[in-house]
Amino acid sequence: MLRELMEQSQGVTHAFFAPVNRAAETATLFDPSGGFDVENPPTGWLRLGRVRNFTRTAKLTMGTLRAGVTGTAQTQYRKQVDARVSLDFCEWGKLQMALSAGSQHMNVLESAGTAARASGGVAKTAVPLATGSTATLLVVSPTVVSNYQVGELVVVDVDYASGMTELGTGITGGVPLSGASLDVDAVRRVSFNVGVVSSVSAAGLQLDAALAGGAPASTAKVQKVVGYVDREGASFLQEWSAVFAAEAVGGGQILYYYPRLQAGGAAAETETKLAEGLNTTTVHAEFAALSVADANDGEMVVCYRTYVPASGAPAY
Amino acid sequence: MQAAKDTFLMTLAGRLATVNPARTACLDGTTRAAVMAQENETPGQAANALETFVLSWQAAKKVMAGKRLMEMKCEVTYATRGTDAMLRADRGRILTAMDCELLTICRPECVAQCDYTQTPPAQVGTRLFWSQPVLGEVTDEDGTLKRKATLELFFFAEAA
Repeated sequence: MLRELMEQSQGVTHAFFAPVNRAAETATLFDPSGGFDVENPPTGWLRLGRVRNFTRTAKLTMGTLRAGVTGTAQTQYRKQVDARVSLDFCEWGKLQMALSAGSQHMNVLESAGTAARASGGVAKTAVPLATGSTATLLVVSPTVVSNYQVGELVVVDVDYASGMTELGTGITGGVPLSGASLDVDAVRRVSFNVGVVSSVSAAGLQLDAALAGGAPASTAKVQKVVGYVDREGASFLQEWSAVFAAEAVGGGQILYYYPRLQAGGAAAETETKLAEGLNTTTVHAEFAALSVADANDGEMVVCYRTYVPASGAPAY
Repeated sequence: MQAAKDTFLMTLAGRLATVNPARTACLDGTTRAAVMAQENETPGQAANALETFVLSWQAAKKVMAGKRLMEMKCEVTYATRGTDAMLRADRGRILTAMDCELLTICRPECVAQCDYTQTPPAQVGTRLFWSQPVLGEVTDEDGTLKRKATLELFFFAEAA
């Protein structure tokens, strides 16, 4: 047995996120017995690329049970579990920004330019989907298909209707404020069902990847997205499941699974100098880990750290 | 160390076949992705290969004394004279296209290490990592543009 296989010399840490069902407070489950292939992550896990400065901070408070005249320590117990994670996403994208800002992450819808608003003006009218649409193919009327070009961003979701308590199909992108006056595009402004048009044909708009929230509802509509915007001070808190994976030269793999990570900081960036006159900006994010009950024994936990040893590595 | 060499060669060849299926080389009557290891070909054959990524293995050492974790420098040389149809005025564009292909096929910079001395090849249980290639100066030798890129490989050497 080669003890060197127990040392972890690794390249980079990869981040993967999956939605939490907020209504049921149910995380996306990661079962380590099935492994985690960073090049082909399990269904439902979105690849967020490499992260730098991945730091876990466990603020575990221990209490001590003492007895006797001298107050001799008899045993310890955990009286407060508080785990936090901070990192820098190397890539900019919709979910990276959403996790960094922590609040509603808004799609800037293509507007007619008639009513300016700081988070995107009144949008052009959405186009209804036709039957046959899937998570990767958006079937629209042949009369409008020529309005779309390869490379354009689109969002696909339902119209806002009074009484909705959560906004977004498949993934909750926001919650309406009580008494707020929202327009018909309010769901599509915060929806995570965003994709890039990879081809345009008579069949419709082919997307480069499946919509994160799954196949669109039959009443969903399409709008073009020109960019993303997040706002400091908004009320919503993003909550996602996360897996961070680091692979070692020796063949071992370390996985950190957080069933429920909730945004724990405000939008921030980290700038690093690459060369004179050239900097790179990464997206900084901070999270608080929330607890779940482990299905095996009912223990309330916030994080699972898995080590998959290299083949042939000693156990001890 | 042979597993690292073979794995890197086969990985780049496989990725190039996807990135640019037209970038092929004909050697000994066999057409294959245009990636070769200089030491695996007959003397002189690799040196004269055009529009082909030629790998040559350089210095290797242990990352830390007493450990089996190794690092090895790899040079990737590629050259072009351009096409006759364009009176060889397209040699700069071809070299630039090959620069892009090399950077593309070198990502991701990690793969499971395999033993190619057996058929079919078998994973040995460790991984091969490498750095991003550094593109060196371009030289012009009688109208042939040539680039030498370098990168570092990190791997566990096989037991003797």
